[in-house]
Amino acid sequence: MLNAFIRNRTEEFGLDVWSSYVIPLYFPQLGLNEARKSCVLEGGRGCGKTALLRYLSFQSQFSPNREKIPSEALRTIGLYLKADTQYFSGFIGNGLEERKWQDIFEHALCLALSEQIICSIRTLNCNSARLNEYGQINKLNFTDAVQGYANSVVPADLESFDKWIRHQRQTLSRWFKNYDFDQPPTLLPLREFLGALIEEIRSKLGYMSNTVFTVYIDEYENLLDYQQKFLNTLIKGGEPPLIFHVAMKPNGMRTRCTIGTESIQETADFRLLNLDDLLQPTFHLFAAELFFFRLIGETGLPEAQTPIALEQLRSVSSLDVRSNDKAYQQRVFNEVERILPGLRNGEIAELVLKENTPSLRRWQKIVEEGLKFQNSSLTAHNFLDRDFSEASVVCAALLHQRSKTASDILAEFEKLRKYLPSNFTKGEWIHHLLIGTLLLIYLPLRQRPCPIYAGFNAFIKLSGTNVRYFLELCHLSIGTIFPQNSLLEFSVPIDTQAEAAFRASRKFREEVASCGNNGGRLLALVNLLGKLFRLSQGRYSQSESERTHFSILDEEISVQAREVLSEAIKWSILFETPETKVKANRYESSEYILNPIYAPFFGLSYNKGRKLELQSGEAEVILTGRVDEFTQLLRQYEKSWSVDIADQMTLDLEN
Amino acid sequence: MNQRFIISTKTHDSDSTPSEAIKSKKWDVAVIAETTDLDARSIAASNYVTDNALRTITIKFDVNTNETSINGKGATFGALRAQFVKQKSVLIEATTLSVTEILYVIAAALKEKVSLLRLVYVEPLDYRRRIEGRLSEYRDFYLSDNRLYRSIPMFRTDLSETSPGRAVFFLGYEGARLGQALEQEEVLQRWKKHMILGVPAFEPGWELDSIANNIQYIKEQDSVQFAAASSVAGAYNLLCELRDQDKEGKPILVAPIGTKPHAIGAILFLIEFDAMEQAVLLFDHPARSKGRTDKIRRWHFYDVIDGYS
Repeated sequence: MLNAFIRNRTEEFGLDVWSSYVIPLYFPQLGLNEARKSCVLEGGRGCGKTALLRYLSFQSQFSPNREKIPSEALRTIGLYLKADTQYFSGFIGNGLEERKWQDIFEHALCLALSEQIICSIRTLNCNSARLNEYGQINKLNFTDAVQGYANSVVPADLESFDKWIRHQRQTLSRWFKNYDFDQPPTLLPLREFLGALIEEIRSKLGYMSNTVFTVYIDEYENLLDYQQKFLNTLIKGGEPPLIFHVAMKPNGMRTRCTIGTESIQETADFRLLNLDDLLQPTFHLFAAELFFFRLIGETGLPEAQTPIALEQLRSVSSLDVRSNDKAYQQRVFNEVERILPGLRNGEIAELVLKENTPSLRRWQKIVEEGLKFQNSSLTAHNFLDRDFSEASVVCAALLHQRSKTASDILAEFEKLRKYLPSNFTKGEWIHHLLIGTLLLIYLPLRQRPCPIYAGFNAFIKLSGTNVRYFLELCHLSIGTIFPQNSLLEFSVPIDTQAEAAFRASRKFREEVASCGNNGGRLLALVNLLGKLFRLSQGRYSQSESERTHFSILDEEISVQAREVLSEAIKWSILFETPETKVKANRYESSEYILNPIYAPFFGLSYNKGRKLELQSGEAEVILTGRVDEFTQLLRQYEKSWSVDIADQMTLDLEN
Repeated sequence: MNQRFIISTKTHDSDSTPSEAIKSKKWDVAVIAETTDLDARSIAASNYVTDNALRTITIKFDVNTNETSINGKGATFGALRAQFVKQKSVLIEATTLSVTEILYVIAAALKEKVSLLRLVYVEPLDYRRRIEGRLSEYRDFYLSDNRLYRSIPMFRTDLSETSPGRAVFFLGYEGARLGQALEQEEVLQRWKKHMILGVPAFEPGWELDSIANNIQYIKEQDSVQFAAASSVAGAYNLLCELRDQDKEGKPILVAPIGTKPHAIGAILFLIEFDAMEQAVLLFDHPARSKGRTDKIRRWHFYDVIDGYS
């Protein structure tokens, strides 16, 4: 039971994901099976890029676990290729010109794809039943097909040709070890070689006579510039029977150039598919379905005890039901929310004001300081009514806002208690300030799990569109407490979930250091922004509540700073959106939202609240500064926001 | 166990430059890094090897261009070998030279049948990051050096085409180096992983930092082993033992991302078994910044004799 959610990366499931893949609800919008033009799939970490590509590739489509292979599956055969980054990024230098390296890269890619094509035929014919249905492999003659490109004898039959390809790869490896002395091997021209290979297959194997081979290159962003240019050339010139698609992280295409004089254009040369945008509207349902799918698949829980059916989640033909059957969706949501219950904000407010709790003492302290600040003779007791917990909680922040007097606030509070219209509801004080004030109260109480982060719906908000984050939150919540073989009466306590959210948040924050070549810089960025937003969150007045994003005035930052920003977006540490609510006359620019998964660690909101507008100089420090500059910046904000001295100790992240 | 290299170690437990007793002879060639003034130990070690050799060459490998230069001029591996033709003894300043540079120098010297190699490694009294790490602000904002997992000429292996074997990580202070390797090279998930910690550490207690910083990336099924942080022979023997244990002769991937003495042990193993992909290098080439360490703790001298020559 421990392990239902422990495998949270596609790579842990191998290349054949036929039985373990939950079809995302946006699947029909992709149209990848019918695509006859290149697609560029863009998506942040954990959004399911790799899983999708592996599902579309022959290893899954021709999986031995698939009982009947429909004819559509033979119309398009997907070849999945994930380049070994450290290997291909080393294809430079050593006295060779880039042009030569490009030929070597083309050759290596050609060999890898040839192997994949051969492997697709083998996988389709993986057992005797399949051989009976398809077979005819001995008709193939690779000598006829590609001998002209090679300087050694190309064997005719499939098995020997496979070995010949492998031998070519070994020759390349051997040359790599000794290129001071040896001549380079004969390099194969990719398009021509693969074209001839595919032609041979289409002409000899009747069942593949109309097959189009589509190549999915994963992690395109890791390729060197000349390698991207080479692939861009393949994208531009791609047409049936050989088409190239690429998948990458945001900002992964560093150049649009081809190896010729042209460049590639969206729409004309490729279709851009943003997987995060496609996944977002249905992520709720997808995550809930995946929750039960994993419980059944990994723990042996009987399917009947859950609101889902495995087969339905694995089948494209059932997508209609999943997308449109409201009763089904409600059953799924009800059950997942029963197992991972959350509290409404009003319930959290009640919890905060419970007798003899640290949270009540903290509320009282903030209220009393507000009254002192206003020289008011009122007491905290005047603002405490457990029948109106939300309003009581919000009073703590209101009493620190310069524009309001204690007696005005009390007057509004009295109106509310008499069920008359008041600013708490009509003026939306509760709406604007409740979550911010609850977080403010919990801020120094780190040893206590904050219930705002508990519940299926909170987990969804923390995850964004990152399936890995969601699974980790489930894993840490459920861990060892899952009862064997029964979901009845099983529900994860709020505190356990909230604690899991904190632990997941801490874990993913630490992981930032291993994101790419500048991980240390990115971690410093997360820590600095986290501390800065935490300072803002710690302001008693909550006048700029739930701050989790920033913009840069004039966006005049150095190339180096822009690179860090771009890297942070690439790794989904920040999300970039067009700026909303632009004050004064400014050019349209971007907003950068800190990934909500870091919210529990820093005690922030997972909502996008008020924006922090940074001067270009400040942004420069945040993105490229040194430790002493970070400290100075934090001190400066601390001073200008007049954060309560007693709260300053909470700035140490680990304390 | 039939091992190719015989390694003997001498330690000079002082911050002062070693006496004549250790400086027993003049060496034919000394090899130093192009930049030798990174910190106090770098300066002392470079001066020491230069003073004790008949001639000195500098070597630099630039990971951004994947090019090597000797005495400031671009060079091939053949040109590096030419430096050691008919030379009997080579003194290598291993403190400042990078892992790649040491690898090329040893490989070239062995190809030319150099009979004695000595590597000099000077331990610092402390690391800047440790000193500053005591303040929470420095701990949270410690900016590690940039790194790049990139294959290098002559030691280039396509991991996606290599059958899984054992992956041996020599770990140091920065957990992110291991984290990035596992994140970037997901193909390693199918490899049996051995995590090697430097125990005893250079200084009692430092091993706790290494453990704490790497623990999040170590899984239950990984094997955790120990070798003294300053022991070249310890690292080399451990790798040879792992190889001996595997009767199927599966490849061993070596990631020397911990202490320099461990890296030297790993280099010897790589040179011994690199042919036909039996040993594979995975390395991230961290940029070396100035002032990374403080003062000198002690000196180590590693003599390597090639048993095959």
